[in-house]
Amino acid sequence: MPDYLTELTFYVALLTAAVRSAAPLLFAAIGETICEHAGMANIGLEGTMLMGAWAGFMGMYFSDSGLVGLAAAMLGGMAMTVVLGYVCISRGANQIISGIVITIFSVGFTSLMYRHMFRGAPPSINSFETYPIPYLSALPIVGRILFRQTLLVYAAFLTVPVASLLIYRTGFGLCLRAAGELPAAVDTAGVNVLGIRYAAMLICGAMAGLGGAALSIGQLNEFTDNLTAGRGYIVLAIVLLGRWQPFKVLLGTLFSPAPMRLQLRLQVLGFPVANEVLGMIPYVLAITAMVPGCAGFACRRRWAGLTVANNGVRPLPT
Amino acid sequence: MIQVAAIHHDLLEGMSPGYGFTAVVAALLGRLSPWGILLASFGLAALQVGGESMQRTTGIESATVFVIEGLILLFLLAGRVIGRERLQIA
Repeated sequence: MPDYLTELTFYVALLTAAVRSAAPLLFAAIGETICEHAGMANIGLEGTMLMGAWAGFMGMYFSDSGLVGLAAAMLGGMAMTVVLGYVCISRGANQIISGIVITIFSVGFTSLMYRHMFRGAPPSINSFETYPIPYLSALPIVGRILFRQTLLVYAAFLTVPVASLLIYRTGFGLCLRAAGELPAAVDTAGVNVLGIRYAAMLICGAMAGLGGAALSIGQLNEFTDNLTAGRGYIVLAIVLLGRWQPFKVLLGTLFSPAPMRLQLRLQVLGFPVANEVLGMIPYVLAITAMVPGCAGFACRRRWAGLTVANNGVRPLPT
Repeated sequence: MIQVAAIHHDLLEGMSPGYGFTAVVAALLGRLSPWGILLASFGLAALQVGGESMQRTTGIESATVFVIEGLILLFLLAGRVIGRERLQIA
């Protein structure tokens, strides 16, 4: 066994990186959780994140201000989900095919615009600086892992309790869940189901946009073609595994980047196993985790609900 | 499989760039009927291959194709249901 596998610093660095790369997933996953509670599955999450990443990068590049970048990212994500919402909610089109189409569009649009604007040398932008939380960051190991991150990472973790309160403890959250479980009841109560669903889609768009921005301007400081590289689909799996509960979703986002980081680090350090085998680690773990998750009753019930909404039939006589 | 056997004669790394997702779109666009799918996948393939040769001959970015493909499909999705609603009213 190589020496570095027995050293503490290896694991601390690994976990720090895992927490940092959980932030983009977390934003998007919480947004998708809210959206799926309202009975809408944003399969175009990948495209929404990508659009957010691109818009955030553009905002940051032209204004040199992180806040403008984040606002642009939220607007970019919301623009995508407004279109998706119109097609799926008002026009009653199939959610899965609309989501894939949104992703195809975003991949093309962001690559085209990026290459059109920056021919030649890729531009660089300022990064978000790490902001150690006073006192807490002085803790021996936990402080290094959790409390020496950028503000964007703290914000991502803050969305979990906020989303939990919103879904389970507010009137809006009640309408949200009812709009997913039994739309007819919401309609009978005199609440606009389509409005609730649009609101959920908008929240999801803003959050997924932030997730993309956390990747492009919060972590990598650059934009490349297809930057999100399948993270949107990973998030969909995480939300399913977390059974639409924000805190379980948080666990999923923390555990899924860790194998990816482990693989990168082992590869860099020259671990004596073929790269391709190491590259399979995250996916093997993900599929193994899916099996007990999807055998559950809640999972089957929820997907049954989704397919009903998916038939292209409007949920309500409007 | 057909891609491996007929086009490249070789197993390349990353040789299925998003074809799985395009295939889902083709299947649903063809409304799950075999002839419809044949038509839909032929149309999508023509768009993608055309985009690549467009880049080779004129230097226009091949990403344009994805934008056009996305827009066509979005309008198709939004438009198809309008037709169905008219039928219901009549």
